[in-house]
Amino acid sequence: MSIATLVRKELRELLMEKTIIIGVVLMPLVILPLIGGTIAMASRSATTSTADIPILLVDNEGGKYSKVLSEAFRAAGFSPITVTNTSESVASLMESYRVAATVYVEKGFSQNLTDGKRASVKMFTTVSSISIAELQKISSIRSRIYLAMEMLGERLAAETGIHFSFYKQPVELKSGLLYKGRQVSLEEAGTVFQLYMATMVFVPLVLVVMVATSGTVAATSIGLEKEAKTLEMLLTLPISRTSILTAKLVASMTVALMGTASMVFGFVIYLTNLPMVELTSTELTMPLSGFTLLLLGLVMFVALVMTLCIGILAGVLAGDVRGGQQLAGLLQMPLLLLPFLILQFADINGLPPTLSAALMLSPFTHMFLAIKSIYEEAYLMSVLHLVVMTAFLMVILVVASWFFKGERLLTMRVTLRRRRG
Amino acid sequence: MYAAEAKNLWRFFGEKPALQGVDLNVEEGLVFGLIGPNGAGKTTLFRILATILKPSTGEIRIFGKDVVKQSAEIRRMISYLPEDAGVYRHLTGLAFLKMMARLYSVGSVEKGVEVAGLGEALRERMGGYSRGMRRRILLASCLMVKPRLAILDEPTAGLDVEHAVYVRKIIKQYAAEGVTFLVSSHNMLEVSYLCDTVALIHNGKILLEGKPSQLTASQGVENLEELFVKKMGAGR
Repeated sequence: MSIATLVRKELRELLMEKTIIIGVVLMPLVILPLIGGTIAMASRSATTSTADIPILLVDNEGGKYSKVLSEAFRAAGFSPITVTNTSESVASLMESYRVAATVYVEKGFSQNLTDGKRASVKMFTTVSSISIAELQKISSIRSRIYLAMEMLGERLAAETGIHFSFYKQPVELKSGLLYKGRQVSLEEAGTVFQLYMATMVFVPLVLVVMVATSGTVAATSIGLEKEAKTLEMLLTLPISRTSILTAKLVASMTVALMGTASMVFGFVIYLTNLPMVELTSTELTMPLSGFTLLLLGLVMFVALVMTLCIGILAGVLAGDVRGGQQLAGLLQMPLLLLPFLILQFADINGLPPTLSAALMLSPFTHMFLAIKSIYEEAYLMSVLHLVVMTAFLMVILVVASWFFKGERLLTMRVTLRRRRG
Repeated sequence: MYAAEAKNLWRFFGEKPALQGVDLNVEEGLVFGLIGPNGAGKTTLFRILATILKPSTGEIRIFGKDVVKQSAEIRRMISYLPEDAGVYRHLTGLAFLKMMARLYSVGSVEKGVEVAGLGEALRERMGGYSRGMRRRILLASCLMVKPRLAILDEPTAGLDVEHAVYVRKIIKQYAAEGVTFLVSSHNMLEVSYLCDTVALIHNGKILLEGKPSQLTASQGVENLEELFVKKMGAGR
């Protein structure tokens, strides 16, 4: 009986805590369906958009079945563009015709099929950006190509009267991959994917943890003043509020700089120690030049300072350390985690416009996109994202400063906990 | 010129008035005591005088300077010790005094070291200080900067007898040197001992103001404690 009484008391205490209700009950109910819905939308978008993507058919044979193959491509949902007898390189052709896939039909293709032998074609797909969404798109294209091959098999079976199972895979597909305008081997493709995981998954993940920690540190710096009751006295010293805020920011930025330096240093060590297949060309890797490291460092630094400002804002609004940390987390986490998770599965351009615009309103979306742009050597885009991040930083700084300078610093108490007494 | 003067001072928190038309004159060089029950408006008045809260309406000046428009100048002339003021736990007492000396452009911390009277403990982190030690170091930081007006919100609250006596002795000493004090306290004996003038505040209004002896005589009571009880009883 006494245990039941205690359990009732514990439950009442726990369930009255807003942080528990928000963090344990409401957040999963909101965040998980949101992410699931977004990924589903992104997948649908990637799948349906392939119907409009043209495919290049390089017909170096001009036989009966190469034409049947073209029809099968159309039936599988492609819009085939046929080119005959060209000696132009595959990279150049794909760039000229703006296609994501090219299929080469060489001499002897129709003859082999007529003779009941397995024919072969070469298929090239191009990876325009390294993302799970892009891989999903390529996978979808490949599925449709396989479907076209099956259709070709059905046609052959109908013509020759041989059982369809024999012609289920009448054509052997030899695959090739184009990345950054050059053909890469399977090993290289694996390495590129490994690099992608290193830069686009693990680095942002570490950054998410680091940025989230920095925000709570800044919130703590103000929360401590409130909790230790040093703030009132500090505010009556012969120094302006701007000086106090600047001092807090400079101190926090120093910590942020140390964090950035350690992050960049760790990142370089991490990349150089990856057990990768040696790439035939350094063009495929993320170039670790002084410029890219500077750019990467700037992105990380602006992101950290931005988080510090959010932390300061949370510290101003909350009454104590715990409240500041909770509020900082609550302000940061949706801004940070949603773009991180969504951009892992979807390309920002493949998302519905409203969702894409909503994501762009989070400053941290630009952080992830800036890192991605650096990886893809789209430096101008990376700088643009950095500029947007800086603009967000300025806005957050102005808001934090406005709160810091007013009486709210003393009088405002946003609390996520149940008010006691 | 008064060290502090308030005319028809009002301060609201939302709809609730914390101060209702307060008029107050604190003469320079005196120890002025503000007494009243919890929630009477003492701390709000002190915070306005210390420039960290703004009045809703009314006028309030420190040595002739407007607390809203000339707050930066006022901060150079005053020091404020809040009721529950804490310390920076990771700073030593000496480092804290040095920081305050730099902020107020006071050359040396000698005076602060003397007022604090903490000896070797000044080289220890303040996080380890007792409540009495913390109050002494904070009071030392308030007085070593040579303020013209020291605003002390319950300077001896929660202190043991030894520390309380020490703090009162220091206030007396600095008052004799010409520093004006504005002090609040729940200890009527302390107020009688320290203050030249006393004001009784209740529900944000000043009910009485004058010298302790005049007030007790005019109200026909023996001491400030009786006066307090009598007026609070009448106020309810």
